[in-house]
Amino acid sequence: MSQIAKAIQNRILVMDGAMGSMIQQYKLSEADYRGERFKEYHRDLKGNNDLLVLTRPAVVKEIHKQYLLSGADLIETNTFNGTSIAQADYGLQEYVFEMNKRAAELAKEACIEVMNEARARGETRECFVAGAVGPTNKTASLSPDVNRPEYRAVTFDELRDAYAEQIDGLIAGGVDALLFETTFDTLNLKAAIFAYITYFEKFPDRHVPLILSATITDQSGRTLSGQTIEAFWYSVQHAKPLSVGLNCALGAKDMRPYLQALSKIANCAISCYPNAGLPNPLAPTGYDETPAHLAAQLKLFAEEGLLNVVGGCCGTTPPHIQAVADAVKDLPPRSLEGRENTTLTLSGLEPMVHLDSSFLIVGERTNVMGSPKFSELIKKNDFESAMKVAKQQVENGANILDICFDEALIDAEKSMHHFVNLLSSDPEICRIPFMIDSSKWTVLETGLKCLQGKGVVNSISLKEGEKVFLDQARKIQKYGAAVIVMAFDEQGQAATLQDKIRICERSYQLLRKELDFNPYDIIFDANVLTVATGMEEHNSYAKDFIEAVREIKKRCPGVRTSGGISNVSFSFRGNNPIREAMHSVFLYHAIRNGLDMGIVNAGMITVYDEIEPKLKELIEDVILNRKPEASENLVAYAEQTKNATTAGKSAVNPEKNAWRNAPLEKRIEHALVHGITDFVDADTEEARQKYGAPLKVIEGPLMDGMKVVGVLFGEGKMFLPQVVKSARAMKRAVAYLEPFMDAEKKATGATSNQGVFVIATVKGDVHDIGKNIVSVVLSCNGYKVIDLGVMVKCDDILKSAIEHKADFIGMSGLITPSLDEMISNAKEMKRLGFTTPLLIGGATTSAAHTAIKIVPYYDSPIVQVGDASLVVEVCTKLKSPTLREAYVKDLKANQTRMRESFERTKSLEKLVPLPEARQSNFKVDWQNFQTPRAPFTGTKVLDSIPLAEVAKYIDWSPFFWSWELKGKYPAIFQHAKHGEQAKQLFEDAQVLLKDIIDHQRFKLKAVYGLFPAHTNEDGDIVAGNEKFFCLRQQKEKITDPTYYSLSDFIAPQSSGKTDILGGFCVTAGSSVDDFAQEYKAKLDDYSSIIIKALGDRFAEATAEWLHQKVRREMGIQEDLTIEQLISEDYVGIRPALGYPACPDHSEKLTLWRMLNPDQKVGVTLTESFAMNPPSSVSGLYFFNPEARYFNIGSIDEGQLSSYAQRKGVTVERARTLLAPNLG
Amino acid sequence: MNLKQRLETVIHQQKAQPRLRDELMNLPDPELLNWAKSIDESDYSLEEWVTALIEFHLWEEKNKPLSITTKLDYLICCTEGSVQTGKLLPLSELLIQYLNAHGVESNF
Repeated sequence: MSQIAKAIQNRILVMDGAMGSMIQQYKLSEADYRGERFKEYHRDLKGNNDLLVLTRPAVVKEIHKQYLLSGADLIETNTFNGTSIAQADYGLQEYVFEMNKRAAELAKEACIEVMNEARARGETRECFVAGAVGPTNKTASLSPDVNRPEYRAVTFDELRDAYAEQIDGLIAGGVDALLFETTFDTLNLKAAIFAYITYFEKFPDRHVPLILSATITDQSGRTLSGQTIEAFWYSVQHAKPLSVGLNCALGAKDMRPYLQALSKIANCAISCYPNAGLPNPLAPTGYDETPAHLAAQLKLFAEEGLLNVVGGCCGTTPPHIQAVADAVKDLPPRSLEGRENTTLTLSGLEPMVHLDSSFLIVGERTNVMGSPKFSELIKKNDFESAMKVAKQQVENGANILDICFDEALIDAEKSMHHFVNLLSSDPEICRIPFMIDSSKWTVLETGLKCLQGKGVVNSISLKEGEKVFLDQARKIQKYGAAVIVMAFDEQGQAATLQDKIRICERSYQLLRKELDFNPYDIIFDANVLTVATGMEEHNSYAKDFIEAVREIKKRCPGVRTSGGISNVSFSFRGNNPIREAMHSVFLYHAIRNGLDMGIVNAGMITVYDEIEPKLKELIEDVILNRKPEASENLVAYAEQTKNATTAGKSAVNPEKNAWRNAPLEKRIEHALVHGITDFVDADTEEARQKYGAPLKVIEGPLMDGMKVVGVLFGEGKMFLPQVVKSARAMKRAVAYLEPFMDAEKKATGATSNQGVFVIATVKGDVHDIGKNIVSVVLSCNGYKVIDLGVMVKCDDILKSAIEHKADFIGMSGLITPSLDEMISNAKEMKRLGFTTPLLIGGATTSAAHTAIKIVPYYDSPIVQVGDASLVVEVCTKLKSPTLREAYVKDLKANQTRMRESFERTKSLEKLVPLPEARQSNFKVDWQNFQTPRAPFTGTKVLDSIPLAEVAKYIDWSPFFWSWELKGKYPAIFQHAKHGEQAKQLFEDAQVLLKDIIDHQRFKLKAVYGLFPAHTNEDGDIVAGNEKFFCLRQQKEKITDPTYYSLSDFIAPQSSGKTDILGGFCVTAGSSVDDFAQEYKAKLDDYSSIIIKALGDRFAEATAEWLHQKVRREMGIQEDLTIEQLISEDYVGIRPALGYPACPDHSEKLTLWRMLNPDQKVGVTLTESFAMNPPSSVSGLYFFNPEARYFNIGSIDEGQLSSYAQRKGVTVERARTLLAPNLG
Repeated sequence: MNLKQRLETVIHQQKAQPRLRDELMNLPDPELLNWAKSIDESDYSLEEWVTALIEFHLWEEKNKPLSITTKLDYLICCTEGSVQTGKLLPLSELLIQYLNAHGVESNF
């Protein structure tokens, strides 16, 4: 292991700051840049900072030393533009090697001098040099010419060679690492990585580790070339870097969400070196953040466990680095444990994470062999039309796009280059990964050199022997792609079950042993062969493939499997209904046996359940080789149905789909009301043909159908889950029409919607189930919804509202600190002169709070919407010229009345003084009290808690409440109004629950701890080295005059006894959101929302499960049913911080210091102390048998001051933290 | 003054309707004690609870009669719903807001 790698394990490494900003301070002239050597040079050289290593080396070295003396452990060479491509601007390409070598030497000299100086003082310093490699000024995946989207100003090979030369110079100069930074185009970086890997293949003894850094250019959260940070990581992870991270463009605060996202998925160290805020021409450095400001923000990142390497980029100076170094010096580095990737990951502009047993569709229509139509277009050079074929595949649900030009009359290499570059210019297409398909290696390589994402090579095999196989696989590794390996060897194609298994297993062993090929990047195609050919020896082909898939996955851990599905039905060419039904049956069985992906015509897959039963049986006889006469039987049936025009008509069960015979508008209405998506594309296309314009389809039959949904919903005959299902169908229809609408919009500028609604969960809050439901309800009522997601800053909400000309702004929040956020957002809206109506929602909000606390700060209407079903009515009234005035008048009158009532309420408060409340605490006979005995003290982590076991602990009632179905489980199923709907919703949830459990889609984790504890004289709990500050009830009581505090349940120090306090944090992890996103991407909000609600249920159930486990560990005997557990019949309590018994959310920070959930189970706290991922629960454990849950309620100013003083915060801060308790 | 006596005093001071008075004074002791515990757990005083029950009585006259247990359970839900935002409104006002927004579900 290199020294720098060791150092990263032990501490947060500090990088240097900007070189450019520092050079500017020297105010160098043209003559300085030229020096003696280039005095007579024929071009201006001022601004070529890299050249200074040759002409003004002392300046560069001095800057290096300044950073080292300010605390930097790692300095970058002054070689940001050190490639021949960048130096071509000055005509200095021939000096590239020398410049890089000299730059590395200078930096090394500076390090050695500083280390020696430290040694002389008796100190130890460890300083490293990273060879900085910039992105150049050209983009390999974007065209500089808008009229020629397929054109590129630089090629992969040109970049690769330029980087190779630069690497050579830097290594010769003695760098300790290479830093490929400020990546704005991932394809440029892939070329650099290719050069890096190749260089060290040639010179293994010179190997140095690699650091990668990307630049998110703006608030879109993407690189300049359009990738999300996740997609970026999947594209480059094959480089196996020492560290990956972000630099430049953004200040620290703005980088945070992207850094968090990267930290979740990267299995290496994380680096961050932001700019010093935004450019400010009036500031001395040209940027506006001071050292203290930058350091404070980076310290927060370090405390969150996000950092291994930290520094500064543009605008930062030695004082900035000094401040950062001081801020992080005592903080631990981010943990690298347990972050291995365990699945297939691909990327286009967006990431694709293959979760086990989800089936991926590889669109086959952009394959000249699979589509005569596509082949014709390519032969005619009509690439524009060919693009449309690609787009349609994506719209029809293709997860990956297969691209193939293997045809005698087509120049495959040229076509591949042209077409992939063209596709890369359309974000709607290139958001998904591509599969480069060819039997010729040079064509495959051409395609790979055009992909900034992580694609799939289709395919390689052992056909030409092991050497060729391994050479090609090695190159594929260097390009960072996944690979399909065919079941072919030197003897030919595997046709039998045994051969398929044997060849795949052999290929697997070779790839793993010889190349350490990532098993998750290996996809076996065990050859789908044609059945029902009339030849008996072909009868078992389909069954053999299915069994081979199962066996291959057992014997080759980690691999995926694929197949060209349409091969199976080749005997029935010309009979599409039969073919499509065969594909459906084949896929059904193959997927159940583990098939992960298939090359099919996305959009033409018959629903298995919809196949006419007789046909299904005949096909299954063939596919599963159940009868010797199966082929003849199917052929005979096929003859009868040969003239059917669509699979739907002949293969569909006639009884179930009688509605299919209704007129078009009724069919659309039926589909929307019942949430059926199977025929949406076909019906929408029919409507488009009939009505002429896509907007007329939306405003006509689609909106008419949704109006029926709205009426049924309003009458209580439909419920929220059904509405969300309807929205799924509506979204599908609108998605189908979008390309046509875009074309129309370009021509006419027309738009149509009920209004624009910008919605977000406010900053610091991560909960979004309710917000998502509201978004869906609005969408399916014709509103254009701009959903900004969670943790959204006020600036972003308002910017979006301006940009989209919002008619409404919606803010959502679950935790009490979000209420403060809404107040400050309202103030900001007023300050900026907004008049847009504001809608407030979320579990923690109320009409009263809105009226009393928010409305005074904003003049335009603010409405609290407690129920998603009401949001459309509110918007309708606010928008209506006839209804608005009366509605707003009533609203304001009601809100005024509530404020007046609030003033009266304050005077009704009867609180006992704090000393009296303390005297009336809950009394425990501590002398005779048996303090609990902990089996251990400290913390424990549970990494893989069994889902099936925890599922038994689920409390289902809140699940229904999140869908606004009131009632308790299981009695809710008998509810007169919505019992049936609750049942249906429950059944749908059970299907997803089974999937979640069977395929381990959630990863339940927990960290918990037991600590020696006592209560001190102030009534706070001291546990380990930490202290929890406790409040006490003060509201006057009428029965038991006990004024509770949590500290009453822990032995006081004066008793001489040591008690035990526990703490915990459990989570269902970010896999909840990942899984939900899979459905959201398929426009299935209904399933997506169920998944999130199940995530929350699992988190709560895990908390229940863990509490029971801990009680058992503590020796507490109990025998309780799940119902008794849910009713809290257990001994002891587990109050959550921020909730009734301990209402101060900020106390979670103490728990976080004790348990380290951010590092141990990946749960972080937002600035409002919400837990992220949202499906997380945390709290304390009290084991006193007499401990009980209670509500602190109102407190007086005296207790507030005491609390503030003990906690070490200002009274004002404490007032903010305890606002709900102060009225 | 014991609990029942205190309740009677408050009922008299607040001028509760006769039917409400009878309902409350005839509450069995265990239910009365449970209710008192709920009052203590809430942010509201006995006086505020009685005021809210008077308001509830007025609502019943325009809508449908409810048992005293139902009314008390409903008010408990109202108080639990306001825990997070704290006590902002008198309980009677909070009750009106909840009745207007949600009515009274049949599973009450």
